Amino acid sequence: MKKKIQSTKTKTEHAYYDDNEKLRKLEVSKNIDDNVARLTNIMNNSFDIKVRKFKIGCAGVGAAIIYIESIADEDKIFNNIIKPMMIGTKDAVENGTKNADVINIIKESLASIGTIEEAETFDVAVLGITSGDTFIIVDGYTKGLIAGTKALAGRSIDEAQMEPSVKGSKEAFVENLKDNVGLLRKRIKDPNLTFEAFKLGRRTKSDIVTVYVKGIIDESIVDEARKRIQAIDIDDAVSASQIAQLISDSPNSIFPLYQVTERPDKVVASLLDGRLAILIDGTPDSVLVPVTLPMLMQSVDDYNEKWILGSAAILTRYISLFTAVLLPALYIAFTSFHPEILPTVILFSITGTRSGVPLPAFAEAVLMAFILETLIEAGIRLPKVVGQTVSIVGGLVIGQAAVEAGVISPVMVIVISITAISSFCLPSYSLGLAVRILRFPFMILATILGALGISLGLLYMLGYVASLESFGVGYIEPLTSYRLRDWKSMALRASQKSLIKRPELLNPEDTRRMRRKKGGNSFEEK
Amino acid sequence: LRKNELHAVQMMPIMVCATMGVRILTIQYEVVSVAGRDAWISVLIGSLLSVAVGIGIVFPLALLNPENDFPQMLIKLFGKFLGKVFLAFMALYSVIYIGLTLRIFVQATKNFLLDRTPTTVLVGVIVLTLILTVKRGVKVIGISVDFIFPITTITLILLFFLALSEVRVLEFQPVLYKNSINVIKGVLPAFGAVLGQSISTYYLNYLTEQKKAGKWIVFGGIISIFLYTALTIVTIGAFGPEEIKTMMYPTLSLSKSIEFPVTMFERLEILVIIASIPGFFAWMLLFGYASVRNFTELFGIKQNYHKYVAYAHIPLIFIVALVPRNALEAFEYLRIIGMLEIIFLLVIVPVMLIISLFRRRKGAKC
Repeated sequence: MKKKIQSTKTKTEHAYYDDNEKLRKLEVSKNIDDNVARLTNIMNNSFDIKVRKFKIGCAGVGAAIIYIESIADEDKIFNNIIKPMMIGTKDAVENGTKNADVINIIKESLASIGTIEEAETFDVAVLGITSGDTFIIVDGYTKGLIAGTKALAGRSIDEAQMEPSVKGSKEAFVENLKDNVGLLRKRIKDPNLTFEAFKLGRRTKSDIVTVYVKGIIDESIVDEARKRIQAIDIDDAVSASQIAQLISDSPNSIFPLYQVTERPDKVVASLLDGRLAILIDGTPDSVLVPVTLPMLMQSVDDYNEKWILGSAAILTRYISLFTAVLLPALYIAFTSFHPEILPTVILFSITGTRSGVPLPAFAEAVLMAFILETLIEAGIRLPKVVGQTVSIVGGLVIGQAAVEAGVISPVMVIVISITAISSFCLPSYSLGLAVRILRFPFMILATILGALGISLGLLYMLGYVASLESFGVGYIEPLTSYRLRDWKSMALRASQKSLIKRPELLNPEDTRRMRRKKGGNSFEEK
Repeated sequence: LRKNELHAVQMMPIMVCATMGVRILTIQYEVVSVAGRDAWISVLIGSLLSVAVGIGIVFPLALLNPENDFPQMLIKLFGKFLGKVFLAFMALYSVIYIGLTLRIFVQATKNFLLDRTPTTVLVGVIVLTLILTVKRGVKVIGISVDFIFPITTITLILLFFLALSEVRVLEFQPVLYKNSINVIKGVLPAFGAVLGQSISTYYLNYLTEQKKAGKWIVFGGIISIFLYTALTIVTIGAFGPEEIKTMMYPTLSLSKSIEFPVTMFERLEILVIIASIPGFFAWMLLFGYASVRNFTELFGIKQNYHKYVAYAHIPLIFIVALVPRNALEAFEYLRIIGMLEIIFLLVIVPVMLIISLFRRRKGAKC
């Protein structure tokens, strides 16, 4: 019995492969009725599969078209395929019925469609039909034609939701791959902007595209990305982040080793730095690799302001990063282990507010941090209309009530609030999540070993983060002393005039971003 | 991929962190006990000598054997048997040295930061954190040291400037009066304290352009000389030689005496000890990796199993650190073992340099 169950399981696991292999071996037959019957059968007689049989011209040659009405453009099918084939082709078909190849005539003279390709086996035909194309078959021929008639529904280009910016472009990627490619094409008018397409997902057959600028990017990054994408064998490739996790260097790391963005301008800037973008059909996000921690700390707005303001913003984010991770831990360490370090006045004020609080500092901090996480999660999940209620109930009612009831000290509410605000300063949502998680181990370390625990935790984290790599680039580069040149555009942000070279850490082929023109006045040194 | 590769500029933070360790907290006590009020002269001469040895003997030795680190050089230059005997001595020495230094640091942490936490817990946690980083290899160690270097250096420089107001010039007078012999005697412990120079032989072979590292080693040396001498001067100026003899950690005591102009922090010494944790950790990383290399070569273990050798260090260092009954005893052991290192550095290493030079000439003639 057990053996039987096992064999069934194996069969299910391989069912897809077997089906696909069968389709590959199944050739288009000369009889269109057979072909139609087979295709509708393969598609399990779904209601939206449409079959239209007709005669070509006056010659009386039977033909049929098969498409899925929900994803194909029916106007195009009628005007550009059926109409010319039925009525506008008398001469061509009359000549062609006996002597010429009708399929070839349709391909070259009749169907006025942008893309049209031959298909001899059913795997190609099925892929075409499920992608929104139309399959044309003609009586007496062992091959058919796949005509491009995709009309996928999607929203129009909208404003960025997750990465808003004060200045700069307001456009964001959408779910349609073609639109996204267009958004990049219109910004980089360079023939070296290369789009390399892959099909991914055994069942979803999603279109995935790697984008890079040839001549700038280090070719080894392109090769590595290609190799990693081709190594993926998955049923469903539905989101960019999912693919990014599959090609990521250390999948178990809580730090994002790829950058997810919905902003085309960010992708363009990254491509011109020598990075690679991955777009996937059906998702409004793109993935950028390689990525380093300083890259995740930058926002588009940093470059829309003068360099001093941009650098100040970056610096603020680094301070926020440490505040978000360490502030509750420091509060625990200072109140529980080293109260003597604080000035007497502050110490008295903290002890005053803590008197009567039944919980130890650690329990107080963990409880508040947990409540905060719950509030954030609830805020994301709830519909926008009720979202505000959560913040009012959570922030005002619970916070104030907890303090007045003497369960939590007011200082702890301040500490947790600052921590929350700091974690929202980070431009990368994934990095923000990692930071929110990291807060907890540091609180535990502070409870056990005070400041020593925090120090050792930080030193361990330093070693851990230093060991991470994204496509061959160290995760905390260029923050090390030997990459000072890259600090100009990564760790901080220097003036536009001084950003002459691309970041060295990406090892770009074309190292210069800007050239000083002689005789001009824009970049000439005084 | 640029695996396990260091850059020439990284030799500067490596050299500074390798010469600091825990001795920057205790050097005044060690040298003032011998040289009294003129201890700063001993420290200056001792640290200068140490840097000179680093540049004059250790660095040329590494340049002559660019593909090998120190344990490999020992076997290559002295042959398999004698080389391994020396290497066994080195391996034993490095573990004991790390364990004892750790114990002294843990005692400082107990005195100033966590007085009720058991020594075993502190030793265990630090060793564990250390090994978890050492096992990640030389590149990670290099980056960690890069980050720690400015923290340590800036803290000590700040301490120096803050303590300047406490200095009483009278404490140094009369300079060198009837004290020259003691000053010379004091050079030896000072030389021993700054003796991290030999560590460069474990890291230079990871550099692509080793010759460029020379200037960074010198810069690192200059920073070490400045910090050691400057801190000795302000400590003597603030406390006087007699008081220092009663202090185990004069640098921490110095921070305790500083009246901070703004009442931001009540007790500065706690901040200094917190800031010295990364510096000490960097020292442990550098020596810990060296120790792992010693054992790896001694037992002919493949480089791939490097991390298992690192894990084996956890009980070794833990036991050594807990052998002394207190910090003073650890200090005495360290002094004895430090002498052995001086002998090794001044006898064995020059012999290795001579053999390397001889072999190169022989090779050139052939």
